[in-house]
Amino acid sequence: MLRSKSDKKGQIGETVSWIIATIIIIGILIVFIYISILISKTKIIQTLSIQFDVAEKTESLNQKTSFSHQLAGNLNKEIIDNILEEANNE
Amino acid sequence: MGIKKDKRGDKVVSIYWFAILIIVAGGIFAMVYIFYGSPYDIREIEANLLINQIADCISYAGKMNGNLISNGEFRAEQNFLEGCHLNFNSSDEWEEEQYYTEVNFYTINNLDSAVFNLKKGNNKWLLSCELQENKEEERVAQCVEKSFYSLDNLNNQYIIKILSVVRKSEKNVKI
Repeated sequence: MLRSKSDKKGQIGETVSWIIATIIIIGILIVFIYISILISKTKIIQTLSIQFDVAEKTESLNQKTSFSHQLAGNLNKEIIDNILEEANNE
Repeated sequence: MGIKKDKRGDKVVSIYWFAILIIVAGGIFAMVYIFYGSPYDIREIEANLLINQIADCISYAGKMNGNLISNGEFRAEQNFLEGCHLNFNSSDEWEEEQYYTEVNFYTINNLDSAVFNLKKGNNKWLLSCELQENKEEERVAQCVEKSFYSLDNLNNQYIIKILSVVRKSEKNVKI
């Protein structure tokens, strides 16, 4: 009779440790899933990160401005550059 | 008399083992699905390319297009941008145009009021630009505005602002 009682205690002890292990595993999985969600939101391609293909085109507005400055003899260059810097950084 | 081992506990442990395997496999599936299920958002790049295309049409080598302005007067019709090889037709997925562009011309003496403007596309998406001023919203249209400087044939100086709006949210954002 004493032996059957101790057998039951052994089974309960093992089951409890498995429950705790399951809870810990589920908690770790939830953390990793949350990290996946955060990383998936960073999938935005910035223009600056594609300098290899787009660099020539993205510089063309600055080139147009430079050409115009040269043709105008740099008239009002500082004023215009300040205006453009303020407008493009908005 | 031999002591029989109680093996009922082993069967219970086996069920737990499979349950944990299923939970871990489900977690891995969820992570992969979440990561690869969200599309790349390329609307900002698209808007910048549109701006560059329009800028090339309006101004080249420092001077504005003669069909647009001549002797200090803007003579272009509102459909000037039609001749800039812009194709705003989206695929059959959308009934409405998904693009909008607006070009405003300012003199350096008066930056508050445009002396001339050109528009093309669906102006409904302009509202998205106001929404995004305070907080970035992915699901609305993306707006990009760039400015540059150019001259007309009389060397009058103009600041040109090009606004480009691209929607296509269904293709670029997980909705």
